[in-house]
Amino acid sequence: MSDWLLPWLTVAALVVLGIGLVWGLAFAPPDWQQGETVRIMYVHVPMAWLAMGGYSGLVVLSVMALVWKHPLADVAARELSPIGATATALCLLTGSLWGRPMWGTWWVWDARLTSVLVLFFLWVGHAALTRAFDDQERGARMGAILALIGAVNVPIVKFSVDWWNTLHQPASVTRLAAPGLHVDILYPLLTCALGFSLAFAALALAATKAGLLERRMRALQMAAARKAENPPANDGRGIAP
Amino acid sequence: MSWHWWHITLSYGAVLGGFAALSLMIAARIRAARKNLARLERH
Repeated sequence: MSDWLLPWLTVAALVVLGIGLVWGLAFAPPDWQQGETVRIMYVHVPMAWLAMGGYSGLVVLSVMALVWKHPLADVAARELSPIGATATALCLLTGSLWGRPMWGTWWVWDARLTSVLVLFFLWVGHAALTRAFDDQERGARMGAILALIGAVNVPIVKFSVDWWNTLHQPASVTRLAAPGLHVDILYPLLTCALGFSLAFAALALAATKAGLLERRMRALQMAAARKAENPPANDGRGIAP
Repeated sequence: MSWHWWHITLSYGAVLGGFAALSLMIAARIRAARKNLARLERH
């Protein structure tokens, strides 16, 4: 499936991202309070959504791997974690670059920032744990258990700005009432979010493909090694004197 | 370039660079795996 889906997904991601980023950088208006710095939102918010949405995907894959023992879910979960960790790291980095001019500080230990840092450690922990065992199935099982335990952090990230008094602002786009952003800012943001989501999906699909090819390669290598250790019995008829 | 634009440039550069680096690494893995598989299947 990936052979035909991947090129389409890649092209769609590049086109939508190109439109969204140019729109956000060159055509969207500056914010009346934040000025030009608001443009960081067009990369920061999609990274935050991908960090949380991607982790929800990891939880679904972990349930599939643990309950239904789906072999593809194991590989996909293992390959998703480095991509999710990168998105979360980029969310923290761009948030810091946005926070310095707006808040006057690179970092503050408030509930939102701290819970996203915990999310980053969960992604990195999953990536490390699934690769820490010689037995890949055992590593996948341990990673799935960690992902399920870490699922409790996703609602904490989402609602931290409502439950605690944080320096980070409350939700502007995904609140139940109308979005708190003007359409001139909201539409390029949603375009960028769609573009990065397509790119994330393309990367996850390509990485899963790489993981499956590597698994097949290892199986062939092991078969070749077994064949070399135990050559088939020879009845002597084929050997020249 | 103003201080604010430096922060914007760094943010966009980091995100696009991060995604580009991931794409290149995954593409290299697929290429290497395909090459090794072709070699193994020949033997």
